[in-house]
Amino acid sequence: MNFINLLIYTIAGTLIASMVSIIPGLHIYNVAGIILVFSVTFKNIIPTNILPVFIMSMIVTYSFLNTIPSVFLGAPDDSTIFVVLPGQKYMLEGRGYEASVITSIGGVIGILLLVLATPFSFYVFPKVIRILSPHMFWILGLILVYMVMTEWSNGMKRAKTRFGKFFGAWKSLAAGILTLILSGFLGIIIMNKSLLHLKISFQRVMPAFIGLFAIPLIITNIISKIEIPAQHISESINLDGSLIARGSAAGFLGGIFAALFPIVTGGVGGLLAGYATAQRDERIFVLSQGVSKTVYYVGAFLLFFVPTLHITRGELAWMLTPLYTPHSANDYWIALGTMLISAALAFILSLFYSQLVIRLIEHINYRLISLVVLFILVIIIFLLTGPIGILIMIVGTSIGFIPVMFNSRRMNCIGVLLIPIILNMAGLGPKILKFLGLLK
Amino acid sequence: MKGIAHFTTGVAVSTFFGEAVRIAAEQQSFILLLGGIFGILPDTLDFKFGRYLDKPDYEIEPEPNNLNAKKIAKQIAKAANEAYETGKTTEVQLHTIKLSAFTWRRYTVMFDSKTDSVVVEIGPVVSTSQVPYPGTELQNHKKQKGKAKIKGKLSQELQKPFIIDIKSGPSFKFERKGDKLEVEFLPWYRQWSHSFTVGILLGIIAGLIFGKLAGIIAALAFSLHIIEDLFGFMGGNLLYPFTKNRTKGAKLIKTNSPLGNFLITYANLIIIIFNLNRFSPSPIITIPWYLYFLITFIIPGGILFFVSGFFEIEDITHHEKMTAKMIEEMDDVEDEFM
Repeated sequence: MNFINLLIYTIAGTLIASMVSIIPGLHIYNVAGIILVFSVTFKNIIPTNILPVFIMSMIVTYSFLNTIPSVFLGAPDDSTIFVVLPGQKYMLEGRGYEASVITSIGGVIGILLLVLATPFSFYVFPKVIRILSPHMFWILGLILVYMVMTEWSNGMKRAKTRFGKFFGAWKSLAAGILTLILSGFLGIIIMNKSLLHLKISFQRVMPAFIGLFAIPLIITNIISKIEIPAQHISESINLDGSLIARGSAAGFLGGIFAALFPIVTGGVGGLLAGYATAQRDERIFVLSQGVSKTVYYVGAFLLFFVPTLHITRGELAWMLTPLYTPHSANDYWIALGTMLISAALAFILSLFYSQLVIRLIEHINYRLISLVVLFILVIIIFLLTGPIGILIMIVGTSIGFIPVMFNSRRMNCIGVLLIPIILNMAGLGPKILKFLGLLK
Repeated sequence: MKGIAHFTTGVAVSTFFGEAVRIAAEQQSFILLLGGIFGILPDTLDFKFGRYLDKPDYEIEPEPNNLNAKKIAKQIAKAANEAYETGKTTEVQLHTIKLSAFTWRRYTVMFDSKTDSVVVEIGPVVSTSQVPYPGTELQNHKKQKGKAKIKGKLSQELQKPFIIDIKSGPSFKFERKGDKLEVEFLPWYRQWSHSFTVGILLGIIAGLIFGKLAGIIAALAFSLHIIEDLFGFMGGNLLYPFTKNRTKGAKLIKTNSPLGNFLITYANLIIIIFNLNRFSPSPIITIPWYLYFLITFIIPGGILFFVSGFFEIEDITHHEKMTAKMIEEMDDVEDEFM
């Protein structure tokens, strides 16, 4: 492979992903899927041996920049959902830029930790994955159970009676459980019924994801009377060595956990790591989420290049498998180099785009921006998945509104992936499908 | 200890049963899940049920626009004195002072055993992360601090100030024992839910539903939670209903200790991987057990323990500073605040 060629495609992937990443709710997996379809159809656009480099630069950039819509436009994806609350709080205090920069610093740390973890990628992680593989279904089940059992009640109000208190508290707890179950049902249906055309079947989760995670928040932005304060572009960030060490450790643990386990996203990994390390300081939390999502997205894809093993974790690795197989350690080093170059560019771009979005929200009505974003998302879903996709999106939105209305954990929407996958892994999928009348 | 430490302990203990690991891998059984569920169950019972079924006699809800520490102190003292005078237990629930979606007003309550009084101090406005906003302390000095005398000699398991700011406030139970008035923090917490008897009972129920092995795993995971809690500040009501009171903890580990929680969770994960490998038909890790634990836990854990001392972080919530200040100034809160 020619170095100049690699550099050109790395820069191109970074730039394209940077534009995609700031559109709220749009996931890089969807865009990468379309690019892969194009590259198969028009073979000269991206040579097959360059494809992994291009995709790597896209995923690195996305892992850095997807914080920007989460912080400024309130639309998270599955892995940034935990950045939202503190991130949006920062924004409401006029410190959104600070939150964005802290998360990007976390991203850089995540990338450096992935480089340092190379010996683990070669010798430890493959062994751990082989030991845990036969047990994956119950381990994923554990995550689900933990999420339900640790849902915090937000409703303990000053009710006069025991029943009043109990009811007030259980409103949000029950809403969380209901969200999980309904998302699970939606997941079972979209993963087992061929609702979308075969050509675009790889996009089957996209409308549900946008409906569950992005649209409820955008609509909330439109209908609420939220006033965005002037955003201060600070010249320095208040982080010391101890905060960085703690945030990085927590984020790396969560990210690597999510990268090694199928279906577990960076947000879930970050949640578990946060609990395991009992971190309270918001800066640690925001930094750790930056580390966690970069390690999750990039680390999962990097495992694909581990010599002779090429473990497929994450949707991108699965999509790339039929087109490309890494042959030697050289492929791993190229992927690592691409990751570093792209991360450096993505960090600079994150500062640029944060300032750009701040200017945008300062000059254009926030509700109008949210309306435009909503319009763009609906158009994208319609163009990619047609009216059925819109229908799935509406169902997803209805479910995604439950945690917004009842102030419960929005991460429960991840049931759309976790529940059908766990059921299938445990061999219960067909039985459930039969019970639901989805299988004859 | 945090829930995840208990949760992973429950799973770790369940993986010591080779039969459970084998049926999980070969028959896609969820039996190991029971370890996690029952490992965290005592706290789930308390925080999802117990606390809502508790009915305090007095609820103190400070008015955000008319804050007066002396008034709060007197309300608490009234409940305490009633318990002393009538011999019946009383319970008081303190509520938080929510100012907006993101801000709360902090206040602190301490029972002073030296002067047998309750001291209340109104603090600054804090964020959801319990970080104080500078310059938000009450300007009226007289309303900022309050003290009220309590009849009887105060006796309490936790001699420290209680900070009330975000989420929900604590409750206290007052009970006369001879000439002493016992103050019990969170009377609904770690009672019946943190007893071996309930653990065994639930184990029997799980055993009847899912089989003997599941029952043993459930009872063991539940019991280990109680044992782990005994290393903390508050113990449990170990043999409820045969015992009536909560024991004291060994005070060796704080619930929120990042290092303690991390090391326990990490140790559990190392044990889980060790056991899953050990009971696998073709083990992948073949080194002796002592070498495995030396490489995976003793060395990295030891390094972390040593290094963590260099990474102390500033207490931005000012909790420690505020409690230390309150203890120091306790004697200075004199009659003018009564």
